Amino acid sequence: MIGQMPYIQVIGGGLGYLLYDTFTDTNGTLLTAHTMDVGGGWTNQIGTFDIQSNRANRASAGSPDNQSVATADAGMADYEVTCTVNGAAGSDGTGIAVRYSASNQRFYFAQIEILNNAFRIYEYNAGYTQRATASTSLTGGTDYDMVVRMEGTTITASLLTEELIYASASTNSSSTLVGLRCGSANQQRYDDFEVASL
Amino acid sequence: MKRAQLLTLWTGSGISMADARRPQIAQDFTLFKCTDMTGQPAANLIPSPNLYVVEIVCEDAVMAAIEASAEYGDGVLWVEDV
Repeated sequence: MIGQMPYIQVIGGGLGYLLYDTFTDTNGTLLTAHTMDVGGGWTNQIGTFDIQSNRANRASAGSPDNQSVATADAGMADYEVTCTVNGAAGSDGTGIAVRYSASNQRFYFAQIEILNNAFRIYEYNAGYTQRATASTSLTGGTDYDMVVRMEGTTITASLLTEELIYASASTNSSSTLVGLRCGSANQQRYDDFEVASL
Repeated sequence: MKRAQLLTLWTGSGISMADARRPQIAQDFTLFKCTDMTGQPAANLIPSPNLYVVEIVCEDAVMAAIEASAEYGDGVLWVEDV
């Protein structure tokens, strides 16, 4: 009608994302030196990541427990993450970290485990607790699209035909840090990291 | 295929990924899926008594073996076809 303007909400720089990264950059660029497509940038929390073949790549493992975690700030604690993950043959974990806190190093993560032909949700809180697991046939060096939804205390993670739901994720309930988590194997890579508001 | 909720022990130290705290029943039987339904805080694991509820998905024959087992049979809360 004349005189009425449509309401348009612009999120994430106009692309509809809170965070978005295609990891397009020069080989060897540290993830912390790389400019995200949408977002304020990456922080290496444990170990380091860099860019290889326009993908985020695990560069080095760190303490505790020889793992690697990098995060970006989504600005809110509830969101949906979509990311392509690619784990090396024999790797024990390539996944997405949610509700990360640098002050207590506690977080949750969903990951593929090529080694175990498994898709799992863990809580990391001074040690690893497996909260959900599904058996699924996985191949090293293959791209898999993972979706992780963090809403309230419920994590819903999807991969292929599997869906895992853990409904008691109450740790770090206001943390807005989200990102990448993997084990110590080489050749663990990520592409098209997208975080959208719910 | 069956879906069920039942009681299981925790196992594992949690110190490493290879020895994560995890459901004992997933070590004893081949399951398609196993999910923690109790949500005990990680700081209190492994609790005393060591017991929590998981939801599993498995083959019919596996569910029959679980129900017949001395360790798990009395702890099956419900079972349904998937």
